[in-house]
Amino acid sequence: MIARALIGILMIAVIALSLSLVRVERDFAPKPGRPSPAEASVALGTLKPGGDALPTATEPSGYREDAASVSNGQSAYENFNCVGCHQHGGGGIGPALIDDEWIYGSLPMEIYRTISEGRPNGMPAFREKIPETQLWQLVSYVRALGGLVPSVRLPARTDHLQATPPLSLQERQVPTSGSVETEP
Amino acid sequence: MTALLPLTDSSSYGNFLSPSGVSAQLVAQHSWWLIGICALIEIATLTLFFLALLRDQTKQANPSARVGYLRRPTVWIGVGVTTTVLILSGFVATSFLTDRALARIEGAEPYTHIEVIAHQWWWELRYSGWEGGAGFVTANELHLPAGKSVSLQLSSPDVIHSLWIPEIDRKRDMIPGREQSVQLMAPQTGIFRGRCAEFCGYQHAHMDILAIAEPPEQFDRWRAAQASAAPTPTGELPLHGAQIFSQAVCGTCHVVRGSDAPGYSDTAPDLTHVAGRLTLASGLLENNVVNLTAWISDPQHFKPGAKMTVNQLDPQDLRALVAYLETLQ
Amino acid sequence: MKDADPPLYDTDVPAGELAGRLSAAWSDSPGFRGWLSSVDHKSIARRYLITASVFLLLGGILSLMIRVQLSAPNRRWLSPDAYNQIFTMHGTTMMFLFAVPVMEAVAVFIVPLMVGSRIIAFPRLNAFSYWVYLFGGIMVWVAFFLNIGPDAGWFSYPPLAGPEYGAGKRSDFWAQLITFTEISALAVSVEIIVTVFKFRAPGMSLQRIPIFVWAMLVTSFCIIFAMPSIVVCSSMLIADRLVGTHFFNPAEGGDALLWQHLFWFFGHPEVYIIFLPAVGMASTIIETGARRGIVGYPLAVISIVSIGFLSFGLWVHHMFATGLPRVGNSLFTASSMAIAIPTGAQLFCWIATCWGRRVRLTTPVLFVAAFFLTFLSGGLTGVMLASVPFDQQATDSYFIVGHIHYVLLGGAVAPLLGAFYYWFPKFSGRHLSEYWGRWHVVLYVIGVNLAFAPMLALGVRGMTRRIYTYPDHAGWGALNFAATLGAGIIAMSFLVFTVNILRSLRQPRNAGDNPWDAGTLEWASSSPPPVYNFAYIPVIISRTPLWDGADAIGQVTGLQVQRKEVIVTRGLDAVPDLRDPVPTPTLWPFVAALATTAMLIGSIFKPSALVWGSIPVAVGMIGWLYPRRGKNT
Repeated sequence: MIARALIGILMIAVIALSLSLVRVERDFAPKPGRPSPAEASVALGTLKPGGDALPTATEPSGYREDAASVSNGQSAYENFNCVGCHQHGGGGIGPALIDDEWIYGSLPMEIYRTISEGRPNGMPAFREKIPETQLWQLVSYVRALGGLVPSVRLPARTDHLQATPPLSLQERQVPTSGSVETEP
Repeated sequence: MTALLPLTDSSSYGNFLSPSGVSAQLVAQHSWWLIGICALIEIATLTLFFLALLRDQTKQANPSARVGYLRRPTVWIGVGVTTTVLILSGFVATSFLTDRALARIEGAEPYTHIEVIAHQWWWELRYSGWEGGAGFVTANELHLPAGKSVSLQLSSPDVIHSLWIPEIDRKRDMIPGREQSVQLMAPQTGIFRGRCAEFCGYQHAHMDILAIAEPPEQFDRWRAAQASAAPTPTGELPLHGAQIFSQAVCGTCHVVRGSDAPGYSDTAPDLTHVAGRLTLASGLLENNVVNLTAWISDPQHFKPGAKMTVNQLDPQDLRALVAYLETLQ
Repeated sequence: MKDADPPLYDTDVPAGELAGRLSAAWSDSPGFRGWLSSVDHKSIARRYLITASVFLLLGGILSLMIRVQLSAPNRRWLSPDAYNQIFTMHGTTMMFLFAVPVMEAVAVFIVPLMVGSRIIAFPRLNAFSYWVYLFGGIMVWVAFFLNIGPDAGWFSYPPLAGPEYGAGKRSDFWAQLITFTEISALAVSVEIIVTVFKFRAPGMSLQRIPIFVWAMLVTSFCIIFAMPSIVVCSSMLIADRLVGTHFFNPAEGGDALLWQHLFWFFGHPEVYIIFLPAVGMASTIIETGARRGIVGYPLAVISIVSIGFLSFGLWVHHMFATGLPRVGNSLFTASSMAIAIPTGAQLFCWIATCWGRRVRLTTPVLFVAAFFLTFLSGGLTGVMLASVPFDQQATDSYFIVGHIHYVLLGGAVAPLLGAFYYWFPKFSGRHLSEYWGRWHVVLYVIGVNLAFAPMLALGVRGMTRRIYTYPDHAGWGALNFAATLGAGIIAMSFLVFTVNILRSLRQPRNAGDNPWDAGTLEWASSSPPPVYNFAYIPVIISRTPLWDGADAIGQVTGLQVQRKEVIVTRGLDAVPDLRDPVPTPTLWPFVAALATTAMLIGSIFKPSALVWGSIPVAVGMIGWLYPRRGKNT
């Protein structure tokens, strides 16, 4: 009896697991919905901090927040020197990324715009500087830094020198702080 | 663009048993001995085994009869084991002596120093300065002065790679955090194909390096040219191309010395003299206008997983960009 | 309860009733629950064999996919991502889920019978090890189907398998699979060692132990000394990936080369862990085929033991290109060559055993011939690779791929297939067809040579390992096509094998108790053996008791019949020491294995899973070991 129940539960669990988990695809040449030139130029015109309410802010179908995307984003974060201003999420010249304060919104599309078009007070526009694929991976990593991605998908470390504890071990209670004052 | 654009190529893919490099020749000689003797051992053992298996000797020898010393199987086992020990000792000795001889070859005074840095999935080459010019950076094509020894400083910033040019010398692993110095000599002029031998990710298959051995005078001329910055483009199309290069994503990663593109030379191949190279994408494609255009538009078609992104440029911009790159002789 | 009953001994029972009473005491309870809680070494070994065969099939399909992709230049059928996962899964499946477990499976079935025991030592641990192995294999294959299968090669070198370059959870599944197979293999090794040392039939002193049992004993010791090394390094890899330690991170003072030392300290003995059982199988087949005990028995045993020892002293020959000091490398050249000496001695013992005898050319013997026709190429290329200069040219090229496959398919799989034909009557009471068996041998030998000889040549021509495609002008097309053809022929030989097994399973059980007229104890029982193996535990006076005449085997009497009992003998001279009750069937090993699985899979995602997950494991273990009168351990 117990055995049958156990096996039944096990089989249901395995089937449910297989069904609930989708295949984690890795696409090498994704062509995510890159904003059309017109849309991009309109977006560039936004000067107000906080921006206007974004129209239909949806991420492209190629956007993922799986473990692979987040850890590739982590590498990109190092390689494109985001560390220079934002440190490992703690902020410095730029605002902190590990808190729950999102000046320009926390949706993937909003973060995408922040990186690609830049923001006032020093955030440069990376639109033509970072390949599209990696830009979206960066978005997933930035969201991971802010605690918006389940911690089971987070990578531990890069192969660089590191001063902060691994992301996968950081407390999920993100500090609530205002934007960090920039040096004059 | 579904069809591949193959490299029509005269470079040798190498055969480490008939190489041209001095070190590789020494190894090949040693290898032929090993192979020959091992083949003999294999034939002898097989013959013995099948004789034992198939020949019915029960009629000839009465097992209960007293057998002579030489008919006792244990004696023959002893003979076999002794022979094995002798042959293997010979192997150990020749292997050791070959290794010593190789060490002596590597003691020679190097003609120049080159830093070879393996990346996923291309080769960065940093030539040191000499009395005729300053040091410079290039990629994927290792020019060597024929008949002269050069010293290579091998390293890798990402994963483990291994440099193997079968015709010239043996493999050397390039392990992050561990630099390895080796000396290399190509005695004859020619183009020898090398490749990454340690599995390094998606495009391990397309990580070739061309070793181009040329007479020392020609090598000196080549490096003097490489040391100079890229010429300022002339003509409308190349000028426009230079603009595209620095404005579009290209300049983020690639360096053209003398241009205003920011780039870091360690994230992508240095393109200062890209038009002078024989191949594109680490030995994958022949370097010509058609291939260059195709490669820039969709590198992921040729090297899926490579870091270079798909570029959706206007046809005009693309033509200008290629025209600019073609001026980088 | 039973304890209240007075003990009933086999001397009190009429001979006609003994079998029935023993069956009643030893059989598993009927139904599914009884099946799950079985601790009988024979049924667990059958499960092991079937599971390993399924993994062989899966790994084989992957190898055919690899060969199709490489059969012609510029094939783009598999993407590099898919290809990397496929070759990694092929290597991992074949090494960890097929080769080691299948050898253990045969040992779990045969060793207790061969030493004249009714049980394998620690039968519940045996059940546990099977379930852990099964669940680990399922885990990694489900991950593979979800496209999170490992992709960094079966030896997962960091940094490629590390947290930065091994993006996603892929390498975690690999590293955790290692933990599963380690637990399983270590448990089986302990069982085999204790079975051999404590459960031998009275009279089977050390010099009367069959060669196969010696080989499994040495293999088990190799596992016990080698596997902790990979447990350590795979755990370090998981720690690097999950909690950000820096074992393999040179930027923080770690060392990428550390992995290679630890991995190959396991990885080289691993080859012999697979090869030594095969040596034992081939010896058994040759002894029976030539109908005499192996010539030079002490030498054969010493060579097996010294292969076991030497296998720990040559791991650096996998690392000759990493730039280690030259003198150290030369030392490992010498030790790598040295291991060929006992291997050679072993081959000469076999030749001497056959010499002067009329050897019956049965299918098992033909597979030993297949071993000679294929393994020698693998062994001798291995001798060449021991040389530092040669290795530095050949390593990481297709020469290595050819070499390892010659060693594994020639040195391990060929004797294994022979052993399967040889012991199939023991497993099932039926013969496999000799006709189809001969086809199997012939196709196998042709296939292996056609598949792997071209690879040696490809390596010489500069083709590197693990490339998903190659250009036309490299000139590698023809040889690769030949290799693919060879792989197809090997696949056909296995098709013949499958047909042979299926045909045989429809025949009646008519093989007889000792169909090969063999001399060792496993054939003293009926075929297939009853659940209690031996009605009376045998007492022997020679290495090949069945050839000594009808009355050469004595009998131990005085064991209880209404409960499971065995006798324990002394390690050296196998003098009977005590009667020992046998653990009863129970569900707890299965429960403990499930809990272990949950804990290990959880720890891929959360470090805390190790803490919380250990509670159910502890519950399982406590239930398993909870003392109940008369039903201990």
